[in-house]
Amino acid sequence: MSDVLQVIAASSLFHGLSMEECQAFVPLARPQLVAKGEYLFRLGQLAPTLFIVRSGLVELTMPLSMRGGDQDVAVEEARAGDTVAWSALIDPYRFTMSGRAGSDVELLGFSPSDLQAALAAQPDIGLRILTNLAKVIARRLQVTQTLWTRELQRAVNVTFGSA
Amino acid sequence: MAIQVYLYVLVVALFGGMFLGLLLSYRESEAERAHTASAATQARPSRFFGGQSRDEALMVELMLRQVEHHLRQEVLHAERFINDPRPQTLRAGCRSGLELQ
Repeated sequence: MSDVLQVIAASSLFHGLSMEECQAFVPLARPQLVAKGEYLFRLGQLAPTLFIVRSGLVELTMPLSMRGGDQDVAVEEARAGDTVAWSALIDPYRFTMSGRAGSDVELLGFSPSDLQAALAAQPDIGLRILTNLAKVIARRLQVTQTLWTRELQRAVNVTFGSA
Repeated sequence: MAIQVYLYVLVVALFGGMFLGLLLSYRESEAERAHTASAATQARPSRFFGGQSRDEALMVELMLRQVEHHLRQEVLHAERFINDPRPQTLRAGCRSGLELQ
C-alpha cells in the first residue's frame, strides 16, 4: 500500500472512505515540500491548490499591526492529516489567511478542477468528502465564534464591570 | 618683626601651594574621567544604526510570542467549550486577558 494512499485515507478530508475509494485520489495528489519559515500561500492570493498535511506543522496567520509594522501572527495550526487551503474549493477562491511552514512540511496538493471532476464522477463519494470539508469549515467557524464571544465578554467586563 | 613677615610669607606659600596642588589634581582627574566616559560611549554600538533596531526587533518578537501564547490558550478554551458547550466553559479564563508581563 503506498504511503500517499495511507496519508489520504488518514486525512480529515477523506475520513470514512475505504482504501479502495481513496485509491482513485492517489493519482491526483501532488507531493510538495516546504521548508520551515516559507509561505505556502499568502492572504488575498487566488487559491490554486488544496492541501493535506502529510507531516510537519503549518501555521495559518493573520496580520496584526505592532509598533507601526504588520506582523503575521499564527492564529491556527494544522498538523498531519489536516486539510488546509480549502478556499481553493469555495467561491471566491481567495485566501483569507496566510499559510506558513512552522517546521519543514510535507504536503499533498490537489488541483481544485481535478478534485471537482473526481467528485462529480462519483457523487456518493463526493457527498462524503464535501461533508468532511463542511466539518473542517464548521470547526473553524465554531472556534472563531467562540473566540469572538470571549473577547466580547471581556469588552463587556471592562465597559460595564464584571459581577 | 622680620621673623613674623618671614613666617607669614611661609604660611601663605605653603597653603597656596597646597591649594594649587589640589586644584591641578582635581582638573587632571576630571579630564581623565571625561576621556574614559567618551571612550565608553564610542565603544558602545550605535543605537541609531544597530542597537535601537535590535531592541525594537526584540520587543516585537516578545510581543508576537505573547500574542501567540494568548491565542493558543484561547483556542484551547474554545475547543473545551465546543466539546462541552455551557456558559461556564464559554467564560472560563475570561477574566484574564492579553497583558504585557
